[in-house]
Amino acid sequence: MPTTVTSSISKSGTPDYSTPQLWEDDCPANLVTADQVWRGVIDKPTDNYSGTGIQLQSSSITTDATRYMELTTAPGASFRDHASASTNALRFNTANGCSIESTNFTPAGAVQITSVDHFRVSGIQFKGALNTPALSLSSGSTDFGKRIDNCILETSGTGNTRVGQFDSSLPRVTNCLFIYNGSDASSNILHNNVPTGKTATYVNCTFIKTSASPNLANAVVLGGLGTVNLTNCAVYGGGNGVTFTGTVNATTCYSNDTTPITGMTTVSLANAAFESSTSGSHDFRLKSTSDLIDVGTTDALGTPDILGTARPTGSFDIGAFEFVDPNIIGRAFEADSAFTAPAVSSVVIGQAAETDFSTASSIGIGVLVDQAVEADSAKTFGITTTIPVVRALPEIDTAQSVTPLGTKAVASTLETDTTLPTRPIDVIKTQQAVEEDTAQPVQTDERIGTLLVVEIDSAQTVQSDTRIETGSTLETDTAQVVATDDRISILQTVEVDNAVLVKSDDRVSVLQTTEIDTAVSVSTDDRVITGAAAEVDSTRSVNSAFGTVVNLVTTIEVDVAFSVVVDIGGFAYRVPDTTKIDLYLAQKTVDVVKTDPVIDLSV
Amino acid sequence: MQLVLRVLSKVNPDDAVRDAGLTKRGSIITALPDDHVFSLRERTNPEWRIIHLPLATEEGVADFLAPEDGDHETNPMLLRRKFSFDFEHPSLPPSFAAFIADDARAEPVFSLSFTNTMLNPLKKVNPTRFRE
Repeated sequence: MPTTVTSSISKSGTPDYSTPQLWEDDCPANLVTADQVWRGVIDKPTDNYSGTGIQLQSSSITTDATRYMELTTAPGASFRDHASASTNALRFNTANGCSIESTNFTPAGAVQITSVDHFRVSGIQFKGALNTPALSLSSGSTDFGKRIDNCILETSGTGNTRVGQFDSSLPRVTNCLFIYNGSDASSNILHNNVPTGKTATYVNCTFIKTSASPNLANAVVLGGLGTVNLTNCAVYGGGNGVTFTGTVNATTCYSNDTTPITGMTTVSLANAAFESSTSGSHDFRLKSTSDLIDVGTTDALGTPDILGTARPTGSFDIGAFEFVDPNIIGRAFEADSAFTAPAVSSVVIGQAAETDFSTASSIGIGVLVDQAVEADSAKTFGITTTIPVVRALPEIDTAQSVTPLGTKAVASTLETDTTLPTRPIDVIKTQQAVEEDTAQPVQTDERIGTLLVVEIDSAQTVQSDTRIETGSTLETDTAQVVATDDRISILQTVEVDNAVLVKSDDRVSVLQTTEIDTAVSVSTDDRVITGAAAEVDSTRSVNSAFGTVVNLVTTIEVDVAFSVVVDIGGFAYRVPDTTKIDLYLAQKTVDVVKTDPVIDLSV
Repeated sequence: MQLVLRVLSKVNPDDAVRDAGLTKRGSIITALPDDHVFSLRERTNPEWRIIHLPLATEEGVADFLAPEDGDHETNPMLLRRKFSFDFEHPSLPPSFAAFIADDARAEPVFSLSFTNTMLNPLKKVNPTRFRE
């Protein structure tokens, strides 16, 4: 078994190497005799290697299928890992992740890999300028020895440019986006010579030009007498899509070439419906109207797509990007009993996501859920950044932790049972219900807002640093603490059973009913406002320190409280007997309709 | 500019063609800006030396990085570097030779106040390697 020697590469911190070139040069000349995999990991999304001339040249290392070179990215460093990967324009952009770029003419390309049979590259952006290829491969002798996965290659050349120049090379290329952003019609997006008896393979790749270029005479040129397999590829150069001298096996490929090769179907650029081909703002994700959606062939090499989305969603799409329509019904994601989820950059779910008895550790960045998410007995359901939209029902039963850090917007119901959230939530917004059973802490540094129901059972702590706001009902059973530094504002009902403490540093505002059972104390530094009834059973104390108002339009009901103290502008209503209830009320509209034992009001 | 020089040739004795594509003693592996920060592994690598040329420019060292070009379609590179850095050139100070010879050097970077013009004589043309 070869030893994998993994080294970090970064421009900052304390990496093993500060540039990819130095990582390459330190590689043993013969990895086969060294019995090693030489693996370089670009460490940070800000590691953008840019300069004149070739930025990485790798040559002449002896390798085989199990002892090879590999250049990839650490989690979070690739454009695929960007927090907004699914909504970022799909093109070369150093702001989105690490990259390697040559800024002036160098015929070898920004990156050149030559006489290394087995070299793997993934997750990196490459760019060439003038007539410099973004990536140059040459002198390979083993089919599929070079593997290029999930990369963006872009060149803005003005001369006879090739975005990918793969000469005498036999790569296996999957989910890569090749962009020609130059102005020369004689340029090629891909040039791959494949010698006799050899094979190169491209699965779910997009070869496309921007508006900067006139129609290319030949977008993809496949030279030599070998074989090239093209599956689910999109070729949009405006002129000839694919020209070849050997054998091409095209399967469900699409092009705006009006006389396409066998296996390739003509679909206009307009009907292909990329987000934008305008140079500078180009974005080669597919729109929902694209004719390239769900017309591909199932091929295991094509999944996940360039951004990490699992294929198929429906059927395979054409090109590097898999479109996910959140409104399409029937795209369930379900894993029972044996699910180990890798950290992924994005999960986009049209209907339901359900994991039972999961050992999943995390879901990496974005979750877009349109209907339901249910996780039963998951050890961890971790969402490390923003959840853009949850439109329906996320339900998490007996999870050990729920750790969303960003905004959680819930249109329907958020339910977590016996969860142990460990990290604060910024915002929970729901238009219907939030239900949390037997959770220990529920914490948010901002607000919990719901238009209908908030129900929390047996939580030890419910805490918001700003406000808890609900249009309908706030109900917590046996919570020990319900506290907010701002206000609790509820349009209909507040019901808190067995709480040790219900505390608001601002106001508690209820238009209809406030019911608090057996709380040890209910305390507000401001006011208690209720439009209908306020009912407090068996509390030890109800305190309002605010000086002016307890507005009760109809009824306040207090049962066996140890004390109720309301200090209002010097008026004092006191019930001093054995129930130890003190009332200081400003408005005589208050009607205490029930006390147990009897409350004797006096001024 | 800062240059990383190879002082111990990288060799592949089993494959003569591949051997020619490796960096050799005198090869400049890479040229980086004055403010580039090298890692500990890079500063102490016994096969490399880092020299700082505050008076040189990117254009002045470009030839040191150029390969001996081969055939575009089959083997685009005959030699990894067409030129090597002449460690023994008489214009170099004696302390430079000591730095090159010292694998355990205490100071990881040697500063050399050479201009582009002064660097030109240090370009030693490597023997041409003809195509196979």
